[in-house]
Amino acid sequence: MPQKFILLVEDNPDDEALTMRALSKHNVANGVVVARDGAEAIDFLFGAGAHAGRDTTDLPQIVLLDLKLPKLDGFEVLRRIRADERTRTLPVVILTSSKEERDVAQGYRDGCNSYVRKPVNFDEFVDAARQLGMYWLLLNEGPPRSP
Amino acid sequence: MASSRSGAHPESEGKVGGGTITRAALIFLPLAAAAVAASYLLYASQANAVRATAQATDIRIADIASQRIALTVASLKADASYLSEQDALRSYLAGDDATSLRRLQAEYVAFVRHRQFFARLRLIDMGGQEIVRVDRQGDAAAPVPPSGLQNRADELHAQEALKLHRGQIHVSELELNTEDGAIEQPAKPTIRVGAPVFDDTGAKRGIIVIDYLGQRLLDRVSELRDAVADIWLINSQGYWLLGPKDDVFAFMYPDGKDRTFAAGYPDVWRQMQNAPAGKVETGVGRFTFSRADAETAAGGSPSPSWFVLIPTPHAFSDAQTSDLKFNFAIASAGLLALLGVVSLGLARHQVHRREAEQLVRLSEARYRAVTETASDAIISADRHGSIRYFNPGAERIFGHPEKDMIGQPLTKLMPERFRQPHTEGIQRYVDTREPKVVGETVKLTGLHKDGREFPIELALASSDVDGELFFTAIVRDITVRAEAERRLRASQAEIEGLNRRLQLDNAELEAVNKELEAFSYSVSHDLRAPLRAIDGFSQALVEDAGPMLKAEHHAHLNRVRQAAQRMGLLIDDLIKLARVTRTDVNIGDVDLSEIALAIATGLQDTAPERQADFMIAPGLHAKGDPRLMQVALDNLLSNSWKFTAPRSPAKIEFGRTMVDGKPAFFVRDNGVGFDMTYAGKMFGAFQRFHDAREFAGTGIGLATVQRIIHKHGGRVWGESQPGQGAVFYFTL
Repeated sequence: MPQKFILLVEDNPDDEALTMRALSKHNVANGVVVARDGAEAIDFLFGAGAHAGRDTTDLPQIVLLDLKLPKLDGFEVLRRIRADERTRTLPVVILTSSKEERDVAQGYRDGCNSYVRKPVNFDEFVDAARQLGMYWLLLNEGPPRSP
Repeated sequence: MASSRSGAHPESEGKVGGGTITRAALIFLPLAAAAVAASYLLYASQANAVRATAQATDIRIADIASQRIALTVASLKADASYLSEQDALRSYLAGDDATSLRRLQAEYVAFVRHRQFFARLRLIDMGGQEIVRVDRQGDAAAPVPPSGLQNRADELHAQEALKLHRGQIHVSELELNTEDGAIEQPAKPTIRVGAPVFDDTGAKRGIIVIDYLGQRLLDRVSELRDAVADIWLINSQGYWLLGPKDDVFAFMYPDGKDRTFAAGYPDVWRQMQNAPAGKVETGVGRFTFSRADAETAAGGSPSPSWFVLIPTPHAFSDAQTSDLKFNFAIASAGLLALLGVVSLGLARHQVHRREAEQLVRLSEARYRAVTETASDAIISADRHGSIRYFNPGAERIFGHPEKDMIGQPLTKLMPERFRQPHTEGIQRYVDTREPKVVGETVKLTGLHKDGREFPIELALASSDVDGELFFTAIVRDITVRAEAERRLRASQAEIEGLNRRLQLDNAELEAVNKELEAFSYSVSHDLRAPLRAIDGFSQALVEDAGPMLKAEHHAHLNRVRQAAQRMGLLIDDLIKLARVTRTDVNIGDVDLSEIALAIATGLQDTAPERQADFMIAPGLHAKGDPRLMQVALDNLLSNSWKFTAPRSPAKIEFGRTMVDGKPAFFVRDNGVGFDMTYAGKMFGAFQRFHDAREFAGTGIGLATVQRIIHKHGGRVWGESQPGQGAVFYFTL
């Protein structure tokens, strides 16, 4: 039985570290896979590139997706996730700096499950991470996995 | 034009106006008077002719009547004369025997039977005794037997006749026959004619007396009555023999002596004495008379004479002319009616003509007024280009007085170089009538008297007056306009240049806007990441190395974090302001009360422990952009919320009031207020009135509110005193 994990798609190492730190405060950091750009996230999910041969049925419990990413941006990643049968139901939470209305609207249009803005205040960030982990990893009943 | 024409025609066609009636009366009355006068004169002359004819008739009838009387009397006298010398009478006088008497009687019977109007024929001796007497009885005649013979010596006629000499004959008056002193009934008018009888020895032996039936004479006169009004017969004493029924033979009656014509008409009677015939006009009518004399021999007893008198009363004369009068009256009435109709027709024609003339005069006056006062030059020329009319406008524009220009060629008003083409153009039009300039407005060059050339605008019209071609030009000096047009073109060019620049600027602005948008997007994304790092790692340091750090280090790290967080807020607000700035305003109906209530609820939720009274006036709507109004109200109410933090309870009010007669919305609080000295700066970005330690804030909120209100074309201002609360008003 594969362990529950989170796929964090984040290109900024500072944000990655802070996110990991925030998550770790609630003991969910262990199960975090980090993809540092959009392409890597896609490769990971669909077992391509550096992740060729990975068991693609082993999907994360949740994808925390930044929007501003090198190569493929967050929206493109989201669209590909939703376009593929295997990941169509995968929960995706956009976790980004922007709360531009058009970005929020675009995110929901492309099928994100949640849109969370990263607060500047780290205390708030920690709180947001706690709530995210609590909700998506513990509270939420994810979609049934295909065998 | 249309209105003035209709004003000159207040009467519609076919309707007779008051003016027409008056005019018709003016025409009709003299015509009618003349017609009536002429008619009357004609009538009068006709009536005169009728009257003259009537008079002539009267005279002729009177003559005829008197002639008939005279002839009758003459005939009687001839008979008497014959009888007085008859053989049988001579034989009787010579023999005086029964045989000769019978023979004489037989002769007399035959004679009386033969003379139908002899009533009686007698021989009377000198003693007045009747010797032979034959009386008419109807158609027969018979001698009276000796026993019936009477003595007539006491009778006037017998007495007069017995006095006669040879050759003399007595004619009696026309009287009613009397028998034995009484008037014989029925009345029998009689004239007695007597002649003396002499025997062979020349001795007077008696008289022959004929009783003539006077009725015959009266009838012969009366039968002429048909041709005249009446016919009377009057004897020399003035008594009627023929005339008013009760008055005839009045002298025969004891009570009738006074009933004479002479008494009734003394004037007429007097005049009748002076002439054998004539007429007398009186107040009651005309009397025409003619006298008939018995003309007995001179020296005899007075002979009777009679007047035939034709009385023609005015009424009779008038009756003769009354038909004429009636006919003339009818004819006059017809003529007057005809004249009336003709007058009405003439009047209408005149009125119409006068109106038409008025229109023409009005048109002329208008034309004159226009041409004399026109600021444009109006010049007429004939087909040879010779000027015939030059108005004051032309004098002003070209500088030539009118008197100098009449008869001058038009070319004098244009520069030398245009004269030849002009003359050719006129000639061409005269020849072909193909308009090139005629009927058009063209721009040309005029020549002023002082030699100056100036731009003109010319409209040329041609007209045909009695077969002669004229040109009329309306010339406008467009120096000023040309200059204006030149300037306009220059400014248009300038404007075009400006427009081009504006377009460029716009494009540039658009590019800048795009850049700005990209910038703010980038700012919101990229500037926050380092802040998060600063804040996050400062905290990480505190957490990880906390025990090793002194309190002073903690404080420093805390400041680092606060600065980072504050910058995060600044970035957020700046992004909001930028978003407001570039957002298009979509005007719709906004329920401000509802928005304010939602915001108030949200604010209370952020600090449930605070005592705050929100007073939101219900149902306040406005025209505005719902999203922008949401932002504006959010800023204002949040400010109030923030600055009422020290108050318990806080009072925050949203409502509407009138300011300078216009509705204005307001947000009022009982917060700490602000110093009005700096009110002008309040709406600038990053302007803060309060210590950041006391009240958090970026100083961008009111700038955002102002930007939004200005985008709505409204006004926003605040009023306050420190510690006394604040009111922010805005209009939309």
